Parts: sequence; structure tokens; C-alpha cells
Amino acid sequence: MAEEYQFGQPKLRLPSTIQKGEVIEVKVKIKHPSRTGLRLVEDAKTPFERFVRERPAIYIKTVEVFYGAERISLFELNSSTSDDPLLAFKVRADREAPLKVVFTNNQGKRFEVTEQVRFRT
Amino acid sequence: MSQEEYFTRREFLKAASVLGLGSTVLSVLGLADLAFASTHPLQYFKAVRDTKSLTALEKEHLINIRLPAIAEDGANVPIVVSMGHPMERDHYIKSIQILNFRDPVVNKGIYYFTPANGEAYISTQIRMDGGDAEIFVIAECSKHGKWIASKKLKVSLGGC
Repeated sequence: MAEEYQFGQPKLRLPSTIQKGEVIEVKVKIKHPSRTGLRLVEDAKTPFERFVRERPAIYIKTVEVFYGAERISLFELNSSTSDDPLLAFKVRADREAPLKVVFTNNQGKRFEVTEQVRFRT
Repeated sequence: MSQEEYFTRREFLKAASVLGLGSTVLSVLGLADLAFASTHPLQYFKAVRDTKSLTALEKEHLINIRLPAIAEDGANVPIVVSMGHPMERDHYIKSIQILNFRDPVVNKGIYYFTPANGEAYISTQIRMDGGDAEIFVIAECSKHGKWIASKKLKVSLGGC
């Protein structure tokens, strides 16, 4: 029997103290499988028969980062990203605004998480 | 177009054998680099070849790749790519692409940035096939084009 895929809401973590104009590291993780859905055939007669489709492919296709209304980053991923990835990237915190990360998988399903950037010293 | 412009089968075999012999002779003579150079992906992009004497331009476009020397699990290889490049409105890193030509899925993601990021930095986990591998990273500067860097690692157990 094929294993059941596990999905979860993404989580976003900002540094505990943020100063205005500082470049901060933002970490975001999501519980999402990343599979091609192909199975390797060990005794394939030709190279074209080495892989057969067992299940539909499922992976995170795009990750978009919005700071306020502006889209500041776009990550185009595919099935070569690991399961449940933890991504980290930088943002220049020059204003207090919501930081939103939107994950879209290859089946069109969206997962999003928002966290407010507040200046604290 | 006339027939004479095409290779005949015999001519093609003759040319192929000469080419094959040529590359063998070059590699035997210790000129493997010369035979290899025509197919190596590094040659199509700008690259920092000598890290000991950097020019100002090279220093700006130096790509730092952090990878384990030996990855235990190929299903989850951590990679961090960072650059000390300025992120100004007219001069910034537009994208970073991670590649491994030995894997069934070569492209490991394209990461687009804007000046609002403040730094071209990405940390992620990728799937890799087992054995020796070389990760290539291509960074695109808005002014100075595409730059490439690579790092080798060994993967104990394939995760593809």
C-alpha cells in the first residue's frame, strides 16, 4: 500500500530583535512531500524504460515572498528539493509591514503564512 | 539543399574516429584539461579562477557555497549559497541557480531576488544521487552577467 503524504501549515520565524534598516534572516518551513512519483525498474531493457510512473508527481513549485504589497522574492523549485524543506533567506527590514510567504505546489494548492515585521531593540 | 552537403555514413564514422582518437591522444599527453575544456560548463560563464589574487569585480561576484564534504543522506543535503554583492536598485543579484549534472533532475531550483532582500542568500535542502558529485551555482548580476562557481562533495546514500 502506498504511503500517505503528510501536509502541514508553513511556519515563519523572524529574529527576536529587529532594528530599522537591518538585513534579517527569515526562516520558513513547511511539511510537504517532494516526489517525482516514478519508480526505478532495475532490469529495464532500454534506458527509456528505466522509470515508470507509479503515482502522480507532487512537489512545491513556487515560493513567493511578499513584504507589504511588494513581491520581493520568487523561488522556483521542483521535485529535487527535499521533503519538508526549511528555507532561509534575507530581507532588508526598512519598514514595519507584514511579511507573507506563499507556497504553491504542482497541483495548484496554496499554503501561506504571514508574520508582522516590528522594530524591537 | 543538395545531397553533397550532408555527411555520408562512411564520412561520419571516419570523422568520429579521428575526433575520438584526438581526445585520447590529448589525454594521454597530459592535456586532459584541453580535451575537457570544450565540454565543461564553467567555460560559458564568468568565473573566479584564482581566489588568491582577486580583482575588485571578482571580489564582488565571489559565490560562497557551503556544503558538507560528505553527505550521509542524499535525500536531504543542506546547501547555503551566499554572496557579498551589493543589492542596490541598479546593481544587484537577480537570481541564483543550483545545478548538478549527474542527477536525474539537474535543476535544483532558481531563486530570484530583488534589492529589497538586502543580500543574495539562500539556504535550502536538496535531493542528490549517491557517489561523487559537483554542485554548480550560477548567479546572475544585473550589470555584469552570469557568474559560476562549483563545489565537490560525496554522497554516501543516494536519495533520488
